[in-house]
Amino acid sequence: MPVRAKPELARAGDLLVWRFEAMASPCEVLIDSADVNEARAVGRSVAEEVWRIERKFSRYRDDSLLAELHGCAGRPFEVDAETARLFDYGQELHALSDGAFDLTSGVLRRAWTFDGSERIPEREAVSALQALIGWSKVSWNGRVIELPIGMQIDLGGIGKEYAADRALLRARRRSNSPVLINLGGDLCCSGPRRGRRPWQIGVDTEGHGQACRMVLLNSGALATSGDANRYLMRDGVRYSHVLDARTGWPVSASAHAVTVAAPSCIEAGSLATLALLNGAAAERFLAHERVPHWITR
Amino acid sequence: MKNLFLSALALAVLGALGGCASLGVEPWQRDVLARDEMSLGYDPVTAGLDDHIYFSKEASSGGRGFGGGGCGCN
Amino acid sequence: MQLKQRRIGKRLRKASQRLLEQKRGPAPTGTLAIAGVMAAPAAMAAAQPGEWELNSAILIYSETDRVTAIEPVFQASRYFDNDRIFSAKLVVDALTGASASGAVPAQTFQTFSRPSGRGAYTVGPGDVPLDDTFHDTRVALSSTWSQPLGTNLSGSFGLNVSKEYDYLSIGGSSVLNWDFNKKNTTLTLGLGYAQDQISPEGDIPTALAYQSYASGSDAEQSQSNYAAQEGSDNAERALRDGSDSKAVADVLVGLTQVIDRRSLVQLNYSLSLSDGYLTDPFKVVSVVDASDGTPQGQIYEHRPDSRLKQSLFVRGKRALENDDVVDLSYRYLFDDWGLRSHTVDVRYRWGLGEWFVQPHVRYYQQSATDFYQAFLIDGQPLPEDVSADYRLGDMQAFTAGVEVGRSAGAWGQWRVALEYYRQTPDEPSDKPGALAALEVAPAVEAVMVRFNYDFKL
Repeated sequence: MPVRAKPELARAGDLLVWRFEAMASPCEVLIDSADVNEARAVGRSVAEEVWRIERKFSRYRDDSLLAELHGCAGRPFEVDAETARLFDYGQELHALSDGAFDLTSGVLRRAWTFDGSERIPEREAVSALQALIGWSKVSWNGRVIELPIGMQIDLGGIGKEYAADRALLRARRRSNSPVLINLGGDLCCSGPRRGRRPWQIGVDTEGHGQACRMVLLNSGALATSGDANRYLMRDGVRYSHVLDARTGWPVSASAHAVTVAAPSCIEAGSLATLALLNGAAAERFLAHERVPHWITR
Repeated sequence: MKNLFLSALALAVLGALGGCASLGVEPWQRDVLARDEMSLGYDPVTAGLDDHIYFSKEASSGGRGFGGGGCGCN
Repeated sequence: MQLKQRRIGKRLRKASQRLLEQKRGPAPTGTLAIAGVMAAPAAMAAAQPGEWELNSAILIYSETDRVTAIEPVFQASRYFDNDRIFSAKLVVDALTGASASGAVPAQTFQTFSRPSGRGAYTVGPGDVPLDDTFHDTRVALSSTWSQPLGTNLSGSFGLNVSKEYDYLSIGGSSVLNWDFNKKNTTLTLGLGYAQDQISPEGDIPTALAYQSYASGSDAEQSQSNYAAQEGSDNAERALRDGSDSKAVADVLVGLTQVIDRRSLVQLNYSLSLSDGYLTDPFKVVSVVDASDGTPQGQIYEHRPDSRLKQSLFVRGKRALENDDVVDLSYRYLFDDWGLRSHTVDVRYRWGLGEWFVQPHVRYYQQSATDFYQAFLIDGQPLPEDVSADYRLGDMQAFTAGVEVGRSAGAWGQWRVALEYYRQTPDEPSDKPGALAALEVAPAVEAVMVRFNYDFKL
């Protein structure tokens, strides 16, 4: 476990910002208030909720719920209500994406390392892993899950957005001041700032790792999926990091970066993911869904 | 008048020369500039009406930007 | 592999609500309350994708004793995703009243022929002759499409059509914007081309030809003198062309630079080349006697058949600490007709919460074109080009006004402006004889009232 930097409170213009680290990303809680004590209390409750979700669903920790589940592979395992809701959501995304999105596709990590190099895996390696992928192989009745031996659940695709939405709910219960939570680019807000002014957000819509566009947010959430350096290049062909769970190989012609706005972070993030899975049809897909979006190729 | 013109010209030329590092703002500092009334293209309908009046009553026209449409008023 | 195309938004919305244990959606309104903004300073602040922005206005322009114009405008813009915008604008321009024909006043009554050839009008002593034959309604339709063309590059393409009963203009334009320096600097290139056709009632007058004209010591005498020599220009009228045309090409090169968080500067260079029939078919030049200044007749004006205009324009906008905005611009224009002009325009916007008050002052000064002459002297050889249109002469103009507006929340924004415009052309200094006692180029005053209403759907 890497040592995390200590959370701290800072001032940014007329906002108070609580910064902390979670889910391998810099996170911040912006509060439109002058009350330092309130800001600290809200910031702490947000960080605690995000760390709780991270601990519970981390694939790196031995004490996480998922580690326990993987240890029980081959046998029925009863989960709590929150985990059940997440599995139900993952199942819905699996259906909406015709199987391209799959909570069990995390094992592909063993074959694919997206570090900008030309090391693409052997066909046999990917095919071997495909035997361990497929939600249809899992038995899930809404409360009890039975994972075949060797299969794993990975909530990485939806965990951060879910945490942002949950943390916002906690923040709203804590305070009436306008709050914006930003977990490494996935963000949501409780409403406009004081005086009905929108939040100004610098968004990296082009996937360069640098904010290049300003978006004004009055309510709802914004999620960006960008590949930055997460791709492979071999023989002039670019392999994007967006893997189609049905084949184990990257989606062809997927966009470089997608930013989507929606009422909740989980919805925005899921639409961005589905857009990337749609490859060349990303523009058509998001236009059809009628959400504000920005696509960079 | 000439001084204002020359200093504004100098400023703009400086800006064009590969961009001074000190001139400009980060994308997240565009809060004030993002306001409707700070946009140079703000209220194009009024700008078009004014342009048309002055185009009809004076011998000069344009300079500010591009409008659309010609008319018979010379 | 493509996913099946179908709308999944509803299912996703329900699924996310179940995940977050929400009974109903967090956003009570139908559309998402997010505002997207293009970061380039030169672009108009955009509305939300999927929205319509509607701008309407009406202008009433009224000169004392001269022209009155009523001009309603309606513009609709549709915002699409990825910063694509389509917009269409309709302008109707209804003019009535009279404007100076270019002829000089005299100590006697004068009767002039109407440009259409149908009838005549009489003007009293000392009165500047005003020709009222151009009540006309113009309708103009223009449309524009803007979209990004690449990283940091965006463009717009427009088409315009304008029609009056005797005039047709068709044109197109294209503007490219290239951003760099984190969109702090924007380079703009604009190109436009228009083809105009004029078919005046009475046809295109022969350049420098004499009009039918008479004068007299009273109105009846002037009119009967005119009747006596009516038809003297029939031969010339028979030779006229029915119509003529001109082409206009425009180029604009601009630079916009963000200076700091509160200010930006714009610098433009424009070039405009017109080629074809540039004369005003309704304007004349009086020919006066060298010693006593009495008009002997008038000839139709003629302007060169090409004109190259260039201008340098600089503008600065700054938001002050208290959120007021100052807008200051200067334009210097010069052309190959010998004209030079300076324009200074200042606006100061007082923000008062939902209201704003914006005083406006504009000062304009031009020096005459080479071929401008308030009148010609009888007996001297006629120049190739000549015009007595005071709008080409030495002149200053001053505008002062104030605009008041209010944003009405969901109902949009409205504003009202009242402006006073005064032109003071210079009197020619060498008026012979009786003309010296008469004012040839009096000041023209006008009042403008404008009402705007903008809203989003």
